[in-house]
Amino acid sequence: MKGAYLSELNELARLTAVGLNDDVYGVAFVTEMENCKGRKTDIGSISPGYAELRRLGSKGYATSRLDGAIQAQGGRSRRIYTLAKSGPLTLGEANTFRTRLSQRIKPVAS
Amino acid sequence: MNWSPPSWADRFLRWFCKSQYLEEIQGDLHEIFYNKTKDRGLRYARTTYLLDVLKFFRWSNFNLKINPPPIIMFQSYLKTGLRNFIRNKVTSAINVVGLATSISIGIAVYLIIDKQLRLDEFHPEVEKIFTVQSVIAWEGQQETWAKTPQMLGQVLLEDFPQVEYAARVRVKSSLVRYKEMLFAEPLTFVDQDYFEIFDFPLIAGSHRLGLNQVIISRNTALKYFKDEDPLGKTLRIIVNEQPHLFQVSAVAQKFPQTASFDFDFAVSIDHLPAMVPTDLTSWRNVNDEALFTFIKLNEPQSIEGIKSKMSTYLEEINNANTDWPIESFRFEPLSTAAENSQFTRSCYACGSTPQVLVMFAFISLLLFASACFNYINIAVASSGKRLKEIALRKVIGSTRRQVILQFLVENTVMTFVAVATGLVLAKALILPGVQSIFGGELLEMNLLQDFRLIRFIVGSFIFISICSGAYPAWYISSFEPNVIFRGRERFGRKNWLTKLFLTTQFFLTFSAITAGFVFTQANEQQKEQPWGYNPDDILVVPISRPAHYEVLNQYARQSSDISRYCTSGAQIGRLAKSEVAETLAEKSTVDAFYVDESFLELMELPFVAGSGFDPDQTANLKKSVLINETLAKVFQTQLYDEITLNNEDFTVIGITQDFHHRDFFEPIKPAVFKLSNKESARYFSLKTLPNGVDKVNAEIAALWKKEFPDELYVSRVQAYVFDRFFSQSGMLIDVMNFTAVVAILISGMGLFGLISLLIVTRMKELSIRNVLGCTRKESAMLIVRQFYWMIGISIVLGSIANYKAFELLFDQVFQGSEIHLGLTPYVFATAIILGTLVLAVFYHLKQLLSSNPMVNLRTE
Repeated sequence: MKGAYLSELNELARLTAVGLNDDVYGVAFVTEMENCKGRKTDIGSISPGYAELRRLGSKGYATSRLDGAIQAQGGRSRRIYTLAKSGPLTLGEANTFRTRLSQRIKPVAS
Repeated sequence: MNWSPPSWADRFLRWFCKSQYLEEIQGDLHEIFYNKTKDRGLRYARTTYLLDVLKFFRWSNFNLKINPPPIIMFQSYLKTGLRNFIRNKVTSAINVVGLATSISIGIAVYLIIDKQLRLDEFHPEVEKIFTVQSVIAWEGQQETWAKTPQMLGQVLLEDFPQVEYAARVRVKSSLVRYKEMLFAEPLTFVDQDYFEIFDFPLIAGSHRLGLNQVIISRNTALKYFKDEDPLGKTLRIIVNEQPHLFQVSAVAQKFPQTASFDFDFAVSIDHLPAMVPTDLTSWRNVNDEALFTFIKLNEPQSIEGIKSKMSTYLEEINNANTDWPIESFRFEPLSTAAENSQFTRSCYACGSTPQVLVMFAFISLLLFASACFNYINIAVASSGKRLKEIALRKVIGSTRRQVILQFLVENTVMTFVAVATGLVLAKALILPGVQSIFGGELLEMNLLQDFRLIRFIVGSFIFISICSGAYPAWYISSFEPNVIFRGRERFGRKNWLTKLFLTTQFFLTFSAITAGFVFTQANEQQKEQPWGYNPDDILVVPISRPAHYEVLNQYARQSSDISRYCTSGAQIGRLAKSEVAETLAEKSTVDAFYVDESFLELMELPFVAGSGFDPDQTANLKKSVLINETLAKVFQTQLYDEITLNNEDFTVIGITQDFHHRDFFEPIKPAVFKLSNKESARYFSLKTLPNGVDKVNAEIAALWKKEFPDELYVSRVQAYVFDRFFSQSGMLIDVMNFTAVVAILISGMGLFGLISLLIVTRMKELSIRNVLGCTRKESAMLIVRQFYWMIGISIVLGSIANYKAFELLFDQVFQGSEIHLGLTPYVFATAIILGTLVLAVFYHLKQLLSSNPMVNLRTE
């Protein structure tokens, strides 16, 4: 994959996933995205949502396992994603990084 | 609760989805399905399930297991392909020639069709150009006419700011004279905007249409001026017998082949009122001819605004045209005007009928299918030669996909050669052939600039590669290596698909041959068919004023070559006047011929009852008519009955035998003969001594040139009156016979190749039989026996289907002639097919049996 950097969409997905605690899998993630999004994204439709989760996984921000089959799924396993505690850049670090950058442009803006 | 998503949608998912994602995706889809069932019901869930599945139909989820072999393998495939191609010369040649022929015909058909579809699209901003059409109600039906009221174009230009240009076009026949040359030419009257709307670039001069100036086409310039400079030369243009002088102000470049309309002589429409009685600033419609209106808009969409306001003009227009009320106006885009011209009465942008194009496309597809069948049959039959190679490849580790790929790549070598040969063939033979059958200009095949043609050729290359290669590749790759190595299975024989293809091919060939024979036969019969009168040695000269009559009458009286002469208002075999006839039994239109007393005698038209117009009783004759048998039957009229023609009463004084006054596409229609005075006649007919037509024609032509230097002498030989009909059906026959020949060629070659392979597989058997004393004839029967059923089925089916089809077709198309379709075509077609088969078998057997049997039986 193309490095560990997060796009804005990646980060949105990551924040959504944080809100879901342990239940991060396809349908739940997409539903949550639809519920929470404050802006229009096409990530809400199901297949791109999958792609986003996979991308998080491939960039090292999440690990996944097959687990938790329920009757609603016809007895098939779900792929449950767990957010990595320490990805290449944690959420906090990413935030700090961004804050620092925005502080730097403050004097220019005023 | 019983819930289950549609299983076929699940199967589809399993087919395309990567196996590592399948479990989770399917699980989630089922969960969504479960939720939907709970919320909206099972029906909704089931119907939308496929949509959800399709949302996962994307590249990243695809199950792409094909590992394309490395480039080096492709090189190897190409090399084996080329070697096989060169080694099997006979089969390669058969395949290439068959495919190349069908490709070249396909290219020609494509060019013909493409030209029709692109008509007039070379004009810049063609989407903004529209032609105006009037819709009128005629006997309860709506008819669309391309003609328009005369001032409509100018009114549209003034009233609508969206209309940028408007041009009226009217074409009149005229005579053009330059020095000694005098020709009948169409004269095109146009508004100046014509050259703003349409793109007809000039070689020299300007598009400005000045007073008494004419713009001529390149062909016209060559015809009249040859090496001279046409600019500034004066042409004498005669319209309605009045000469007008015009100066050539410009010469147009050669018109594109895709122009459905162009001009030879274009002059300003302002000259029109001076030449013919007409008022360009009125709402009147032109009566007999058509005035066309074209407009160019600022935006293609603005047409809607104009359409909605057209009804405001209708009242004013219809007050001026009470005889011809218009219901509404249509605006046809120029790009489709020619294609749709078949739906309008009269047209300026005219295209050809689509039925003919469909027939061409159909024929070329059939030939193409026949060539592909050949390839498939031969490839399947010859698969035995390459079994060991395939088995070895598989053992070493080739997958089936790779073997299929190998055969497809090899096949492209053959297809490539075929396409290249086809291009050469098209350029050298087929396109000139098309020109010689249909006339017109040679179709351009421009491989460097015509992007659509390139796309068509590349497309057909890929299509042919796959069509011809797919089944053999699939078939050959299906064998198991262990079966092949043990040598148990017998390959390439008793393949039902091969049998099906062969039967179809025989059927198509059979049909093509019978079609060729039947059409030729029908044409022969039509040529032999009596016309009902004697058209030999009759010369017909169109005349338009009494002076013509005087000159011809004097000549005819003096000349010793003329046995009889007469005048008439119409020529038999061409369009007659249409009149409404009425009796107690029937009321409909009939063809009316205005003739003088000696007309029927001259035409040697026999009477069934009564007699002709007797010159001694001129007074009574004004109220007398002669009718033909068909009219007598349809109107239930007998001798001396009354009949009403255009609201005038007449007495029937004679009934003539039926005669063909229209061509054989139409049945014989009711016809009447009325007496008319000689001076108003339109035709002067002369019966000459046997074979004297040419001499008389030359004498009159010389006389005419002396007496009427400004008028064109035209003459018609009565015996040639149906030539147009015969040339049309002649074209059809040429196409059919050509198709038959190509079909025989292709299927004959296929049969030839197939039999050679069959004999090779039975070489040992045949050699042993030969050694033990089996004659060549018996061996031949052994081979032919394999084809009994296929040929039998195709001949029986072909005979029945063709017989029915032609019966139906001829009833529809040639209503004017009875055609007796005997069994001859079917016998001939059967003989040709059987002959090809026997010939191929004997040729190969001769080769095999004349060699020493030892060579074939020896095993090392």
